[in-house]
Amino acid sequence: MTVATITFAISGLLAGIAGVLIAPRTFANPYLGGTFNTFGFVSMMIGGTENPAFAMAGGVLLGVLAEGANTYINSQASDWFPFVILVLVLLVSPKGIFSLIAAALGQLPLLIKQFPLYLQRTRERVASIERPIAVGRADEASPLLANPLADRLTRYALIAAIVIAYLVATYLIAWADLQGQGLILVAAIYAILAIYLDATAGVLGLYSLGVGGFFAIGAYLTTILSTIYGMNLFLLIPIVVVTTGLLGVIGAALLRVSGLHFAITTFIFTLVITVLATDLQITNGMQGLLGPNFPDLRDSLASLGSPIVWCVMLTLLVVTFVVWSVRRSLLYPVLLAIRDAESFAEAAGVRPGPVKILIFALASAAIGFAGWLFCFLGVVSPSQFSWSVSLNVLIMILIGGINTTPGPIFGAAFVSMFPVLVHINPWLQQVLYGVLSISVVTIVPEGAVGVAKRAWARLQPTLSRGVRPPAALDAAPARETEGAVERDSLVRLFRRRARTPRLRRRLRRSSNVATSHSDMGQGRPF
Amino acid sequence: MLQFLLSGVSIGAIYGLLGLALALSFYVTRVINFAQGQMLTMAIVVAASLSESGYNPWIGVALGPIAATAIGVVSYFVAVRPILKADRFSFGWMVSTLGFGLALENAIAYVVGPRSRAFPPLLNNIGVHIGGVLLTAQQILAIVVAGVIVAALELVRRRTLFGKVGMATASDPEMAECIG
Repeated sequence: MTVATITFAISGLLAGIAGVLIAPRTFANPYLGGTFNTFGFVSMMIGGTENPAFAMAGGVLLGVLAEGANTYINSQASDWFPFVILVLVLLVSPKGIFSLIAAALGQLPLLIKQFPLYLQRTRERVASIERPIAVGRADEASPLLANPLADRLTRYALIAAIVIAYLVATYLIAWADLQGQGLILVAAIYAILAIYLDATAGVLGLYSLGVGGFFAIGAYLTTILSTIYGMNLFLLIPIVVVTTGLLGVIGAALLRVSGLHFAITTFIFTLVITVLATDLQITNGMQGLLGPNFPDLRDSLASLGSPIVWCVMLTLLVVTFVVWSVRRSLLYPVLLAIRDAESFAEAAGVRPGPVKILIFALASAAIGFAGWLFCFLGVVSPSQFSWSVSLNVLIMILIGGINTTPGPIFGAAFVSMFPVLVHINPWLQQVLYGVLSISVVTIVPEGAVGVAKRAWARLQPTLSRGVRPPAALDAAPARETEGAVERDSLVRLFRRRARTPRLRRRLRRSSNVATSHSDMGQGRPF
Repeated sequence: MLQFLLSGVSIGAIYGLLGLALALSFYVTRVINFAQGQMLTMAIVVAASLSESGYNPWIGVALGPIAATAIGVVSYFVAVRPILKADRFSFGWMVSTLGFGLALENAIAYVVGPRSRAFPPLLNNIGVHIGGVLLTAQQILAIVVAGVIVAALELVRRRTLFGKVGMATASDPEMAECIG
């Protein structure tokens, strides 16, 4: 019996006690848990996580706030008012109110203690500037440049084959029966979401659960502005994209984006959006709104079939291509460096904050655009955008394989087709889905693409003798080799940069400064 | 004024208990157990089923939390431990605990049916007047129980070996593992 086991037992017991305490005032319903989960979660966040007892204080505060909103505003206000408070709390003090108070008391000695630590860290950072270029070997064959002309030709042939297959597939889908078409379109839109979440989570390490929120904003904004205010649908694209993108910038900038905290706050963002969509008049509550119709093509192009299919599939292609080319570009190692070694990347001259904000904002804008596409598929209602959408998209990525180009598409197709493929009792189906998502993250963390890659590498022993590692490049065991590839590309990046005289001068100057600093700091000869 | 304050505190005590449960597991393992709410459901459903089949409702009240405890342990071994073992800093637990909650919720719905059922009122029929405010005994019970639990946990955390081990794990898991 470890400490963690006992802790989980106690927390289960506490939840059980809470259950029998509240039950006489509610009903016994299997789906109560989600609501209470949210409230417990919010009270923990309000209170702060430094001491478990703070959560109780947060809970009491939450209860009083909710009851107060119920009494003084209206009964719906108790649904959203606590969340507004929570967002304010998180913006002011990310660690919760009570932690803030406790921290303020204990701050002074800590500050004094931290000052030498800060000095030391600065020294280390300065010293680490020299390391990467000294260690990286420029003569090592870079896998990115190693391909001669023949390889390039096969690659062009491959691209042509993919494009042709894509066109044929789209044509077939455009003429498919309505049910199948709807299914595939939903899968494609989820694939777009998954690709963008993969770009933020897989490449940058920002695990966002806010996909549902941005998606909802895109869809609702389009539906409301076009059906109620009669705005042009294509004029709405920039509006939607700019709105969601700006929200992404604001959110990411205010949150000082980092790991767990980021995930939690985006999760709450989605919750707030769903609650607002349920409670507001203009969104028509739980029933939702009927989305606008997609304009028909001109008669000369009518033989192509349904226009929305072309539109969605085109977006999917563009999105895939954009993310794929980012993976191929010189920017990619920089992004990976931000994910895996933020302080090192900072020392090497990248500014992680703005890059993260930029990528997140771009992804948010694209997810808003996916919302624009989504509202043409029928009814827009709150349940389509709840946090479970964010979860589903994460599961899609993990099933497909995180940080791979085909992974999210495969995962999205699988998850969307799942209810159609498995015809059993709906509850059992959900149980199976839950079990599946657990087993994916526990048994095959690198996903289907990772497994496929590994199998492929085993089939071709010649391949594994090359520079490429036997397993997937992005799989965790291959970290070291990945590091080598990254270093290579970084070295090339710097060399290419240094070709322009101004940059070269700057680079030289900075390395001089670094040398003198490391001399001073470490007291060792360079 | 006092009415909404007191009823707010009593519902807040419930939220707080759940938050406490979440915070405890987060405190020690840095994992937020998104299946926590479903443990609450488990307790309610067990208690409701027992009282429906004719037992004394208080037996259900005693057995419900025990069932939830068992689920808590199961959730740790199924959804949290394998992930923490593989990579302590990964976010896989987010998916696996949410998935655990989803599976549990729907398993309950499959076994007992998805409809809402009445729960025995326990102490909810007894009204208590405090300074011109009407509360039910159940609400007061919630406040009292929550207060006792917080005090007990704080004592455990400060005074006993288990609490100290928990604190050590919270502040530095690797060091705690080295020592034992």
